[in-house]
Amino acid sequence: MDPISLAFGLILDPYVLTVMLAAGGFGLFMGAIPGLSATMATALLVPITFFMEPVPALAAIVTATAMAIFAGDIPGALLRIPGTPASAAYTNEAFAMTRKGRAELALGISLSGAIVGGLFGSAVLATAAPVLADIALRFSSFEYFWLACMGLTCAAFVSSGSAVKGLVSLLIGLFIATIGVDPMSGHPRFTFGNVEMMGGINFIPAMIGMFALAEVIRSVTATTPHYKAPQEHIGNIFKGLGPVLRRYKLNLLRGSVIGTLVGALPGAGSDIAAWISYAVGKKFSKEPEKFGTGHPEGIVDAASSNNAGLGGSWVPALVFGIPGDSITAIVIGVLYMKGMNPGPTVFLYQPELIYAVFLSFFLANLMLLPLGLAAIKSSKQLLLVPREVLMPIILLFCIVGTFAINNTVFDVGVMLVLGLVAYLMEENGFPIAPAILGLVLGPLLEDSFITSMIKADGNLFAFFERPIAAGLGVVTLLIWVAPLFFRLRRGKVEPAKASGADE
Amino acid sequence: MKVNDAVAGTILIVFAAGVFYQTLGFPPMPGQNYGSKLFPQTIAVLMALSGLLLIVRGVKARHESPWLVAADWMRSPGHVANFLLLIALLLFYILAAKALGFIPTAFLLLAVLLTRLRGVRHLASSLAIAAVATVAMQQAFGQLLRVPLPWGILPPVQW
Repeated sequence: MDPISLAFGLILDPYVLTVMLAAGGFGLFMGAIPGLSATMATALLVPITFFMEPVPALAAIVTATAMAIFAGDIPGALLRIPGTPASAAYTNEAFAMTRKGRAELALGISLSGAIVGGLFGSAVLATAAPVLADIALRFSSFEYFWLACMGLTCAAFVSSGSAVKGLVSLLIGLFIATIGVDPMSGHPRFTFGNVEMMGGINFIPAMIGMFALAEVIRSVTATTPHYKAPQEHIGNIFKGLGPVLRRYKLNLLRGSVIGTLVGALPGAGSDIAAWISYAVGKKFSKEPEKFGTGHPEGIVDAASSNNAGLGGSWVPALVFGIPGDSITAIVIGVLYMKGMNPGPTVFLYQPELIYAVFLSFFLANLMLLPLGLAAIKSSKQLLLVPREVLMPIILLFCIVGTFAINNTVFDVGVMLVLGLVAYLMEENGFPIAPAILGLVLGPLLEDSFITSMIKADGNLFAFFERPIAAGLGVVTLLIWVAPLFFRLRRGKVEPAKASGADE
Repeated sequence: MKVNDAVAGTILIVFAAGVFYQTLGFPPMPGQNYGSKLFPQTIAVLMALSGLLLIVRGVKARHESPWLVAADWMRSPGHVANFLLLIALLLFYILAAKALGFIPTAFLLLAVLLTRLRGVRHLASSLAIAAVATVAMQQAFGQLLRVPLPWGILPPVQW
């Protein structure tokens, strides 16, 4: 049987479909409640997927994230609070529409944009990934070293306003990855004689601590009053939707393209995709002055973009094992756990699994229509769930989920420590995503470097001897040097400006 | 808690120095130029450099950004209590779960935290939620996913 029909068999299994349905409901819930994000949904899903076969595990994550990114628009439109960071770009716009009594239209655009964008991202993933994988088959440890460097650099630079803080976060992640027995030399590092530390810091407790526990801490210490449930009655969201979508079909396409591309960029995920698409939409609009006043155009751009970004971010993750954002960083950890080492060889040896993942993307975005509609209809009840009840339950879930991986409370301790670290980091403007990327990619970076050096007998120039490696290396070095160069130039320009201002 | 970048930078440098000191004891890989030291040492050096950059930035911005600002919630005793209780409950779970068992520990944790966050007024419903959530979690992970959650003082019951 060919891999594609095998993949259909894998995904149309009633068990997998049930898992996807449940994960979809979970994702909608997590996305719709402000403070619980798509990343947190993924983090909390991982301990459960740990016990599943690869296909249902990945399909669950795909479905939950697609739903959560859309559901973030619901409180955005109704309460002016983005449910996930990916909706933040157009929350004001959507809420302005609600104020004008057009909440149905805003949500209808969000949902249809999400479906179109999501399907577009899935299509790009399904067509681009196998082609790229063909090229990636020729890669050796030299190329992987540069790819890991490039991915990590982008992650550090893109994810926050301050490149230094992104770098620090990345270094913290890389450091945590070095804890434990060094697989190359067999020497224990930073274990302080503790046997449990020898195995290294498992990424699941780390990620649950940094994404979920940190959020619980933020929630119990939040001094801002809680939001009130929306009063609006939600009617038919399809009313008047057709003309708007026909009018802005180019925006739909443009948002999807930008979202997919930005998503594929390492370090930039759906949230950045939405911001960029919204800005581009405004720039090229015939009526930019209407943006911000409850104008549907920007929502079309951004709502399709953030869902398209999901598919895009899986491209580098599946093909090279380089995550596009924090969600795919978690996915890569899951792939390793499932013995599907991400990279081009998966396409060779387990193509049916890869095609099943692609199919789950399409299916999840189609399921978005009925499930998303249900979520919109029940938004009032969803937003009524009190946070004081939810947070303790999430806390217990964090504990049990962490414990479930290795059956040791040591991991619960790891989660506690890293949750506190992540909380303090975010308070002080250090982004968390680079740390998770560092933790996941650290071993790849180190192994590919040491392996390359053993092959090349310690000759550093070997990193530039193969053509693709040389190209990747030069680009990486340019990315490293560019900020310094710009800073120097700016330094020269600024004093001149300053003296000009004095006059 | 928000600190000036210079404070964060200093902490980083001290941490990096500690990391570097630790790596000095790592043995080299026989016959290789690069061994288990290389990576942690590179990380430590880069951390220290970033720390220096942060110190420079922090000192420049010292007029706008004080050395240390307590977060809003730290001035509110209620929120401080929430925070401390959360940490204490996690530590309690880590220390007590094995001896006491999952069900009693998780129930206590949930009951205490729910009561604290929702107020004593809702004690009855808090206890009910804690009980239901604990049993649900035990069923989902302990039975369905076969995670060996500790039984502790309770006899291992099969449902």
